Amino acid sequence: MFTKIGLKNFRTHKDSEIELDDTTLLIGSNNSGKSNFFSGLHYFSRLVSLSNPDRGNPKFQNNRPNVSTELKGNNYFPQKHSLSKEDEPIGFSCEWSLYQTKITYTLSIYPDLMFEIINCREVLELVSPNYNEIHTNGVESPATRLDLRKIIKNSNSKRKDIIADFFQNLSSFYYYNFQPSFLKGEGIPLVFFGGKKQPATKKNYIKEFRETNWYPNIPSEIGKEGSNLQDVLAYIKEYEEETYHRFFGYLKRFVKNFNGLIIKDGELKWQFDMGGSNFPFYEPDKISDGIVKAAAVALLCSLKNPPALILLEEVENGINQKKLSEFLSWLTNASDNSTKTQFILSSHSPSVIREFSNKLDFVYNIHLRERDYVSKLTNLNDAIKPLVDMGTIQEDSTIKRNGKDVIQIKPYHLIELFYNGVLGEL
Amino acid sequence: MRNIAILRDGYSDYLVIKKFLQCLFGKHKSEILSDASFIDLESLNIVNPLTKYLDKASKKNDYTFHSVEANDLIKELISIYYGCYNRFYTEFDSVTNKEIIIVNADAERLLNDRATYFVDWAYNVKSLINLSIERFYEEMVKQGYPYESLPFIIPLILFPSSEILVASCIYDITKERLRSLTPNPGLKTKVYGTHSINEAITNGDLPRILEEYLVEEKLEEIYKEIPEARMLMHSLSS
Repeated sequence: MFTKIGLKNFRTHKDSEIELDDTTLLIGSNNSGKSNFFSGLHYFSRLVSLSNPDRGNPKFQNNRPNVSTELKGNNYFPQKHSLSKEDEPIGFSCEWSLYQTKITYTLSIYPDLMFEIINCREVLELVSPNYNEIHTNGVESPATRLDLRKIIKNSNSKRKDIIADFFQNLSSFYYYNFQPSFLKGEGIPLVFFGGKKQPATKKNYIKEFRETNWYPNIPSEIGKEGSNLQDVLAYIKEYEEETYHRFFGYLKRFVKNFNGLIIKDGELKWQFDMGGSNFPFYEPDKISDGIVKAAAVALLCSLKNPPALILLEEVENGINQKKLSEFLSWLTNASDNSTKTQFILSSHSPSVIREFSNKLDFVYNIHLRERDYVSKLTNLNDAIKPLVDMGTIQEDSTIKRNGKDVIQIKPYHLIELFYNGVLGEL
Repeated sequence: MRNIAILRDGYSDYLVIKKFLQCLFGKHKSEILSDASFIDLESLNIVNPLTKYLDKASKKNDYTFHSVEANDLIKELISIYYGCYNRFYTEFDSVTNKEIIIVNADAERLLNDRATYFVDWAYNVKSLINLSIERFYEEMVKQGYPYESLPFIIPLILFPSSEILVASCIYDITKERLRSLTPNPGLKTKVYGTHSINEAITNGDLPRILEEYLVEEKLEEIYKEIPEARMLMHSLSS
């Protein structure tokens, strides 16, 4: 699992780093940099994913044709902090651990203004009891491709497998900002095609699977706003029985009278038990916003091979406060599975924040510093400690976690701080 | 340069207080303050804890400093000042005693005339705010902060609301008994011609009225009619 993750000079994030748990929460006012943080993590994950040396290899399903991995200007200039120097690197760093092995990886991308090329620098350090390895790309001489993965694959490293696992995890960050109209199939996302943005074509995964035996990478196919959710659900209903049953179990806990999905005349319908002898079914556009949002998250939590890291914006939108605990427990459940998924959530809701009152060490507040438009991250456990020391907030207890003192406070204290505006300034 | 943060309720309060301070600095040709930079602490406010306190204290008719309600108010205010301190820190990476925080709230309660400012409940609210500031300094000192790193906190609780500052520049508020008007719609309508602050800001009336009436020449009227503004005026005049 990832234990630390950070960005440098990416949009408003000059130097931001957070520690990660199974579920980590980001709070902060509008325009503070939460989405930039998510975009950055997703952006670098995608870059690493494209550098997979097995990409394009026909024996690996889901590997699209090989594309040029040469870094270009648009890999750097649109992403850097607007006020930073022309050649200041943008960067990503993370720590990842599995059993007793820890991997630290840093990536930076910077322009060579003289030769008008974009270079990268990658460093991977593996530390395990009695054994260490370090691998680099672009350190001794400039590199224009993220080739570290390939270099390690072709090296005599003794830990190729675990490093491959790490890269697999790093390539598997998914960023969602689910929107009800998209989740119901009413919104059409725009995609880059032929150099410009165009409405995406509607997907039919069932047909595609029947004709080509190609199975969709569900976390990717759902789409950032959830525009393909209904089509993906139709596919899992038809072809992924285990996933469908887990999905059904989650959603049934959320909506007691949910009776499942059916496909009628080639279209997906939502069926409910309303006490009569027949179970009525409805088109997706008749379903409540909260249910479709919950369905999208339930699906992510049900996957056999879930993403390593799911970035979920404004998790509370459309979810009733009473259902929120249940909803958040799905995430905990998913992250407890053997196929570990981690979540980073962003929220504006005191109802979500209160659920984290016993794990403030994994809550981060993001502020945008007005004088230079830099996002600053503070850890809530560290930030709240002075208030506890002053006696203005009463702590229940202090526990030790990862060698740190973690303050446990009553949820209502967080709510009070939220409404007085203090929480936003910590 | 000095940074002045204003802790307020609504955006119009920020505009009024900022203009009031600019008049004060202008009149006294303060070199230190003439290039002051203003920060609107929009997310923080003391109105919720103050209203909670006033409601509970008035039910019990107990405005003493040692009541549970007073203690709760002080604790919440200390947290809020700490929030202000953090805002400075986030913005400037350091805080000095040159920084100023104006703690404003509209008491939303009426004083029938100037003299009633000194009645128990009104005076105690002001005193409680002062006490909370002293307690904040005390707690910060205990945490090891030197005084050079702590901002100057000045309270400005207005009865019934910030419009009274503007009203005192336009009208003879004693003669017209403007202190006894409710803040909304009474006083707002009297000052801005509408009870809707949003409308007054959007159509430009509020900034125009501030520009026209809240001027250096009227500071004497404010000092005479608004006792709750006097300490601030003294503190920032030199």
